[in-house]
Amino acid sequence: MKKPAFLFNQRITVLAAVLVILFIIFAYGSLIYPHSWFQPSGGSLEPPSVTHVLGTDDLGIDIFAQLSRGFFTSILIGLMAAAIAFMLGGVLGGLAGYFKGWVDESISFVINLFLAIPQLPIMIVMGAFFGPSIVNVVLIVALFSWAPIAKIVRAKMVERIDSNYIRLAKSYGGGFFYIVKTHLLPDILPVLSVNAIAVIGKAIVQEASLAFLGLSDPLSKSWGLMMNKAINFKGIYFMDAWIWWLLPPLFCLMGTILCIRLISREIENQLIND
Amino acid sequence: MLKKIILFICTFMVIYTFNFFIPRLMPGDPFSYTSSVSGEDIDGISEADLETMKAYYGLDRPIGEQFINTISSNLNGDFGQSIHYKKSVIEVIGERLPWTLVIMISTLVSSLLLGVSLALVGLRRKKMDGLIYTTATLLSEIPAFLIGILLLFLVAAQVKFIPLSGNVTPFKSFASWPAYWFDVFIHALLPITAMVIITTPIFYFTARGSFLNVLKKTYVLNAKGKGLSEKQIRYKYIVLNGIFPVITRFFLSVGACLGGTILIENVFAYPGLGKILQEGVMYRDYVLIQGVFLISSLMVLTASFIADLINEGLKKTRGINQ
Repeated sequence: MKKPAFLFNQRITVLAAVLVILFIIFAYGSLIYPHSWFQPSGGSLEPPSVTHVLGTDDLGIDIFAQLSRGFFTSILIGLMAAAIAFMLGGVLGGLAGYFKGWVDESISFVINLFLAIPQLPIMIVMGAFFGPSIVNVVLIVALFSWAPIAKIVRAKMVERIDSNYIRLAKSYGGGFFYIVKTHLLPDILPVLSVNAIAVIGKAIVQEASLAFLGLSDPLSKSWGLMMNKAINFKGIYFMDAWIWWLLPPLFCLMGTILCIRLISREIENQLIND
Repeated sequence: MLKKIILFICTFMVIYTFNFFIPRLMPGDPFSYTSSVSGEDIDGISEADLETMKAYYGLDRPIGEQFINTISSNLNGDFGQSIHYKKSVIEVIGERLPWTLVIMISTLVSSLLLGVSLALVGLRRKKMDGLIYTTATLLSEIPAFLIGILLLFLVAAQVKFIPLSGNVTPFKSFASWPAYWFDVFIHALLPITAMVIITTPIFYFTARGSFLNVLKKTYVLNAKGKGLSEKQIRYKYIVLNGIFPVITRFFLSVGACLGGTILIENVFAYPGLGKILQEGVMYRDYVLIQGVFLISSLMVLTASFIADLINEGLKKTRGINQ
């Protein structure tokens, strides 16, 4: 089997390398770095120094330790939401494309329904009513990420299902699982994976948005929550603290999202070119 | 077409039903919340009191009857009383909705104009196009509220005449209407800028794709053959024929734009729907949250329905060729 070409794409390598470097830095921050991410370890609003690499926040908690913790929270939420969206989107989109008829009609209807509902408002409503916790955030984000994936998978299935080799396989008596496994999955898996990677980025943004509005778990440090605290701190405009309190989570968030989204974009371009 | 109408109505009904049932599915109930000091066990409220309260709010009736009652009062324009603002929900939304619309409409209109112009510039200069395309790709992935925060600290906090938050300077009386409008403008400037930065790429991509598509058409070649000037071809052929996907995109973007606006309002403490949504969450003003959610959903659904109508209309007039 030949290796997929996108492994050799230079841009993807660079982007992935950035992610790996971030991972190493933040792994150091949460495993080896001496300060706690939830207990004060210094004075209030200390500027960056040798002991506190990025200074401290209003409660004297080390910023770099919080930032490291936030990275893993974000990535974990992104991965879990993407995994659920991947499964839901793949299965529902696949079923709709394979069986056609009323199955397709009803699943497509649900897909279009989820695509039509304005996302952020409904996520805020659900977050407000079901309470802020990591699990809820993951479920809410996943619930509103599967529909685009399902739509793409369905389209791809519909395009393939009428081709002659599938018809031949069916006429030889190939069952649903056999045909999906041997003939359809190899075509659909790359598309599905690319979109799942894109969902990781989207989920991170959405978690940050909810956290920024105060709707994420207040106990688990995430970048959105850090920004929420910093921007709501009275007098933040009149001192320098925003430079080490607000900017690091902001730029980390931007960088991580950009890396993930661009990687999925690049792979997608590669797939189209192939 | 019929399908689209059914989808529109069904989606709204699903949202409406969801909106009705979500407080009833929520763990806990409001009476135990109102009758206890936060966190303490409830022992002050008797069964009888609970019954009276439930009867007062009409919660002792069967769920179907409650649903019908809600629909009929909503149809009469009654969306309940906001707990935090001590006003009717419709009144609160009436005060705030215009400010959200100010941001959304100015964002969408200026992004559309900017996006289309950038696409036109790109058509003429290939090198510029590559640059714009890369920048747009990068910007389109960044959420607006992050750009908003950056603008807030890098611009608003440094430049004297740009305010940090709000929609108009409080307690100030304005000498004339232009002075008032200028105040509104300068307050909305940064939120709109942040939104425009991330919305323009959407229109740029749509316009670029559409224009490039038109360029391939034989009638453009024919126009060139007739000896029409570059300018005539650009405006009469490319823009006129390629603009419809951009206009559809305008209505389709309302949802994303609303999401961005909700967040950006919270960055700049701009008193629109997003701000009251966040305040509703903070003060557990569930009635208000539901009202805002219904109104904003209706807005987004209507906009995408209009986009569908335009698309259908286009398909009909252009026939099979398109």
